Parts: sequence; structure tokens; C-alpha cells
Amino acid sequence: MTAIPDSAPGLALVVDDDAAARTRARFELRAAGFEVIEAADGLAAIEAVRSRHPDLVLLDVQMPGIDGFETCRRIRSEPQGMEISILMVTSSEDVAAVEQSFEAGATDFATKPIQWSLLRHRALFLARVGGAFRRLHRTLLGLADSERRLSDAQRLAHVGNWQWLVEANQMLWSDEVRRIVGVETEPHSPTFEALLAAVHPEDRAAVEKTLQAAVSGQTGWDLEHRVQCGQQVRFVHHQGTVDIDPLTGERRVLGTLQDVSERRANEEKIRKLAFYDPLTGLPNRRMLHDRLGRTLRFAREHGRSVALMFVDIDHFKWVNDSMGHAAGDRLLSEVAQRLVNSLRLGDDIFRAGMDSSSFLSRVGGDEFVVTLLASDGPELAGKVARRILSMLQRPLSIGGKEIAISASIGIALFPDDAQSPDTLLRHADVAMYNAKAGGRNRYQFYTESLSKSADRALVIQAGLQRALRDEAFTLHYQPQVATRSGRITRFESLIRWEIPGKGLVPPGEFINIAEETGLILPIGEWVLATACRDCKAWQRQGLSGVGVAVNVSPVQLRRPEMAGLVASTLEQTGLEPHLLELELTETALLQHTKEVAATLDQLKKMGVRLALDDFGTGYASLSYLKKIPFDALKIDREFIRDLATDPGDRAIVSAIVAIAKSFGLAVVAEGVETALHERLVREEGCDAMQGYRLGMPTPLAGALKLGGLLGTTLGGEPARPRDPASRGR
Amino acid sequence: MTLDRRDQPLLDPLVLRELEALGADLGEDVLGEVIAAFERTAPALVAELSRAWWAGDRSAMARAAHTLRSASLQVGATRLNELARAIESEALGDVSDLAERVEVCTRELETVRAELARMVGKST
Repeated sequence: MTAIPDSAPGLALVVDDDAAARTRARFELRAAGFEVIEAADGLAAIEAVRSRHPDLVLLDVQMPGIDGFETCRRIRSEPQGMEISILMVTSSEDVAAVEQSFEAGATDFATKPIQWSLLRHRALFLARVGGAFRRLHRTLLGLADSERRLSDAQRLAHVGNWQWLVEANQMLWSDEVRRIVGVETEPHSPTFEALLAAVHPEDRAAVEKTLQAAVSGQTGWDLEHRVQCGQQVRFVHHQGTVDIDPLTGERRVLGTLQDVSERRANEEKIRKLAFYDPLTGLPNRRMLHDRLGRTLRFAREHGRSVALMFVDIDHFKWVNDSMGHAAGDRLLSEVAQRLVNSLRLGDDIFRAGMDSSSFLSRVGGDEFVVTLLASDGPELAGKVARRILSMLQRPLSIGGKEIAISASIGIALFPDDAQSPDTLLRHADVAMYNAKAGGRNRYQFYTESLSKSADRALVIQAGLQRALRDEAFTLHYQPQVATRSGRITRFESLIRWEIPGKGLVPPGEFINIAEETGLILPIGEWVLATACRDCKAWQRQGLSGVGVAVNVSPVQLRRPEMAGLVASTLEQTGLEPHLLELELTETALLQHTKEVAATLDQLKKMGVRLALDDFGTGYASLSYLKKIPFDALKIDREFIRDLATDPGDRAIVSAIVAIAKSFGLAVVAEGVETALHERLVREEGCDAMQGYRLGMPTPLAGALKLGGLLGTTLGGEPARPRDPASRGR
Repeated sequence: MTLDRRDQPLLDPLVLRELEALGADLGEDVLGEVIAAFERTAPALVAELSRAWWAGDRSAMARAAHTLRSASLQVGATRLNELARAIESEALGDVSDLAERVEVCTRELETVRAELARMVGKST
């Protein structure tokens, strides 16, 4: 026989204002065997307690209306309210809530996000023990049961009981109570004071207050606290009631004490897992958050400064991708070890400030955060950063290969740069990206100007780097349609960058920054390769002869390797050169140097088509048309938009077409959006057109579909090979 | 940037797997019901965030953000949860990022809902 029956755990009441959280709790508790009822606020909860008498209440602290603490107090003041196990759910950063929970009479608490694997057991335990306590209490209240059976039950459940006759000041402790408080073997006179003396010093005042209140208010209590048992600290679950002898009117206090140390130890183990990174053994992001808040409070109170250093391994993804995850993990472990070594206390850089301390955590894949608490944060941070960089630079052997690593470090300071953990982390992050942009393998202090003037650019730049790394760019394709046949001649590839949750970033916003930072080179390379590959793909899928147009940045055009890049891309993708059209803007040609001329000449010789983009908006110098072997000219949308209403625009378009023809160039009208545009453009003699009227830019799949469709249905006088009527014309 | 944590997943697969596993244990559509509960509450909470922001009612913001934190946690919407947490902690302080956060929150919710819908559609 055990003291804890294996019967069904009983009825659980879930109280939370969030329906999703209630739903989860309902299923979890049902999986543990509970029957579950729900309440969305405190008043409904009290109502449910009255009508259904649950064994366990899972109670959210923060709710509209009466909050969890108040709800808990009111449940406790209900008849039999003391017999219910109340589990309070608090948010993890609210330390005060734990104390308030117990003050309000909660049996135990859990923090959100709830570790359900753990909580299910605890809920079962509480509900069962609650039942055992109830039976014990009834037994103690003078109902018949033998001493021996009680003692057995107590030993098995690690539950002891005590009784105190207040007026006579007589106290009785059971053997189990003596064992729990550690006076098993010695002669000992049990007193209320002796009981309090056994309570852990830090908990003593609270326990005394609760018990005194229970005695004077003739209510009960239900709490968990620590007991100091020699060198050992035990956790106990302490419950009790106060009743009045109907004959003498004297008060009798009955308490039960249960040793729950083992359960606590298990919980601690699980907590450790939740706060540490299993790979490196370092504290994780959650722990950092927790710790940082306290560090900042300490620094504020003691006038210290805190330096937060964001350490990001350069090109980590490359190692992971090319050498495998196992190699990546080894690299991270090694980096962690070197960081630990860099932060060893007691050597020269830390000797200057004896009062400094450091805290290292791993917050993401290849991101580490060093927190330094010092009297002179900036100076120490600089020294530490230099040391980290030099220690990381020592070559590293992984899988028999020697590789060099480096890191970029961003540093933000408290109180100079930020007051809150979040802002401090964010600023360190911004500074880190700046260090990356500055060429990597360096450190950068956060400055306000980084955040203010360059913030947007920096964010975009950082985002671009990530997007490149994570392959977050996509190409959309917009058709160019021949005015006469209505067939698609080619698709213009347009880059799209979508940040999940933030939507599309307009190219106008990031292309400039990509050009300034040189990121346009890898981005441009990616665009070229992808467009050629896609074009090759649609050749095979039935759109043979339909080409692709790729925009080329002036920065790319100035690179001497541009022609070579195009050649090798064509070779790798197997795309025929005449299907590729490179679109150059007039700006790109402003620096029409010998090198650029040579590049264009080589491209032309390969058979690649060249088009002059946005014609009419820049310098519109006709000399380009003479010097450069263009194949096509694209009239800017600006002239097309008001074509129907502005006679000036119409005249310009006529002139452009005439000039282009005289140079033997094809003319493409951009921004064709309406039927009227389409008609006018055709009348002016444009060879092809592009715009919403003919098709929006769409991802490849959509473009392929459009390709199948447009060939037969759209655009003026389409050729209708399947229509017998057209054959005679 | 904290506002743009691309390294955090939109939806934490671990949470969703837990829900699926629990559903398998019980022989019920736990994931579907949790998502349905989320659908019933989250859009109204985000709307309340915007309303409270425009009305300058910071305590209403904090309340809505708190409940949104809980709701997003249930479906493993990590980034939305992080946003709500930031809004809750900043709503009563003096921080200028609030407007942007609320805006990001609105967009993020739509992304989460689309993804959840896609997922549920796929699994049924």
C-alpha cells in the first residue's frame, strides 16, 4: 500500500484569458488523465470552483479583470478551498510574481513557456498528494486510524505531520518530521520556534508570517519552502489547517510536511537543459537575457559599466556547407573554447580592473555574446576584442584540413549607448554588421551615427548579406511581347527580395546600397546565373527561342572580369548566347572607358545581345548609339504613360523610334499598361512592348504559364496557328 | 536586428511537432484546435494593439501584447512572440520603436496565419 493512490487524478480547472493557451493546457492535462474544465477569467474560475470542486487549478497570473493572485486568494477562502492544489503560471521574467503567488496561497508555480513534459508530472503529483493530504487531515482530526498505519503511510510518502496546541503551547512531531528537519537521532523538544528555526534562513520570515496569519485568522496554508538540515537544504511542501476544540475553544494547528527535494532536483536538471547550449556547454540566449537584466541592474546601482560584445564568425556558413555540419559543430566548439580562454580572469588584461567579470553565451548558430562588467567598459572591451580576434586567427585543423577563421565583433556599452538589455543587444548587433561591412575580422564600437544616419542603409546591408547567404532573393520575370505577332520574345528578369514579415523591399531601396558596398557583384553574379539557368529551362519546356534580359549595374560593367563571367555562365548553363540580352543604363555608359568598350566588344563577339535601358531619362546621348553595338533600345515608361494625352511625349516617341531604326535597333516600349497604350505604341512602330498590360512580373512558374498563354491570345494581331481562318491571310 | 530576426524561424517546428505528437497520443486534432483558438484570438489582439497605439492607451497595449505573447507561443510563432514581448515591455516605457513594432506585428501575424493555413491544408 502506498500513501499516494493510483486512482484517476481527478478534475483540473484551466484559467487563462488566452484561448490558445487554454486549448493546449486542456489537451496536455487530458493526456495526463485529468478531466478538464476551463475558465477565461478569475470570476468564472471562482464560479467553477464552487460548482465543480476541482482537484487542481492551473491559474494564469496576468488576466483582465481580477488577476491570478486575487483569484487564488478568493479560491482559498472558499469552503474546501484549502484542499485544492493551485498551480500559478507566471511569466519568466517576473521574479516578484513567484513570491506573490505563494503569498496569495498558491501551492506551486510554473513559468511560461510551460515545460509541459515537466508540468504534467507535477500536476499529477499535486493532485494525488492533495488527495493524500486530505485523507491524512481527516485522519488526524480524530477519526479512527492506528498510529502504525499512519506512520507507514508517512514514511512511504515522505510526509510527516505535526500538531500544535496553541494555548497550551504543546507540540508533537511525527518521526518523519524529525527526519526531514534533521533531528531524527538526537533528543529534541519540539516547539513552534524549533520548527521555524529549521526553516532555511531566507525563507524563515515568509513562513513565519504565513503560519502566524493562518493561526490568527484560523485558516489554512499551503506552501513550499526550504529546510536547512545540517549542511543539506531540503525542499518541503508544507500544508496545514487550524481548528478550534468545540469544548474548550482552544486552537489546534495541524501541519503536514513533505520532502519534495527529489522532485526539485529533477526540475533543476531540466532547467539546466533549458538554459544551456548542449553543443558548447555555454549559457544560451535565454540565460543571457535573464542574466543581462540582472547585470544591468547591478551596474546601475554600483555605477559600473557593461560592455556587450556580439561576436559573429566570418563565413561560417561556408564551412558548414562545404565541410558538413559535423565540421561546423567542431569549429563552433573550438571557437567557444578559444573565447573561454580569451576571457580567463587573472591575467594581464583583467588584472588592471580586479572588479571586472565576464559572461560568455552562445546566442545563435555562429553568434556568441560576451558580457563584460567593469569599471571601465570601453577600454576593457577594446582589449578583449583585440585578444579574441588574435586568438581566433590561429589556424585550426578540422577533418585533417587546416582552415583559417576570423570573426567580426560589435560592441555596445551600458550606460552610454543603451539602457535596456534589448537595445544593448540590438546596438551591438548593428555594430557587428558594421564591422562585417568594414571588411570582417575587426571590431566596431556602436556609435549613435551608426544607428541614426546609416541605420537604414546598415540594416539593408546586413539584410543583403544575410539574404545572399540564405539565398533569399528570387527572380521574377516580365514578358516582352512582339507588337506584330503577339508572341513573347523574351522575359526581363527582375530581382525580388522579400523579408518575411516585412514584405518586399523595393529594388530602388537596396540596389543603390548593394552598389555602394560592392555587394552588387555577388548579387549580380547570382542573378545572371539564375536567369540563364531559368531561360535554359524554359527552352526545354516549350518556349524555345524566348530569351532572357538581365540588368547589369555600372559597377559590374566596370569590372574587367565581366565578359569572362558572362562567358563562363553561358558555358555552365548551356544557354545559347543570342538568347541572353544584357540591359545597360545610360549611367553605366557615362564612364565609357577603354576597358568598358573592350568588355562590350567581347560580349558582342560572343553573340550576347545588348540593350540600352531607360532610354530618354539620362543623357540620351546619341553618340552611344553610334559607338556601342546595341541591338535594342528601351523607351522609358515615363514617355509611354501620357502618350495618349501629351502630344510632346508622342513626338518624342516618334523621334526615338525613327532614330533607333536609322541605327538598325529594335525598339521596346516599357510601361505599356492600357489598351490605348498598346495601340499607340504599335502605331508608332515599336517592335516590342512590356508592361502590366502584357503581364506583371511573376515567378518562373507563372512566367512559364503566361508564356504558353500569351503566344496565342494576347497582343494585337496574334498569329493563330490553330485557327484555320488565319491561314489564308 | 531585433525587428528582423531572419535567423529565427517563422514557426518553431518543435512546438508544432509537440502538438502533433500530443494529438497522436490522444487521437485528436490538437494542432488544429490550437490553431483554431489562435485564429479566434490573435487577429483581434493585433487589431487591439494598433487601436491602443493610436489611442495612446499604453496599458491596453501592454495587456493585448501580453495575451498575444501567450497566443503566439502556443503555435510556436517565435518571432511574433518576440515582438509581442518587446511591445509589452516597452509599452509602459519611453521607447520610440513601438510604432514600428506594431506595424511589423501586423505583417508578421499575416505571415504566420498564411503559414499555419498552408500547413493545416497540407496535413488534412
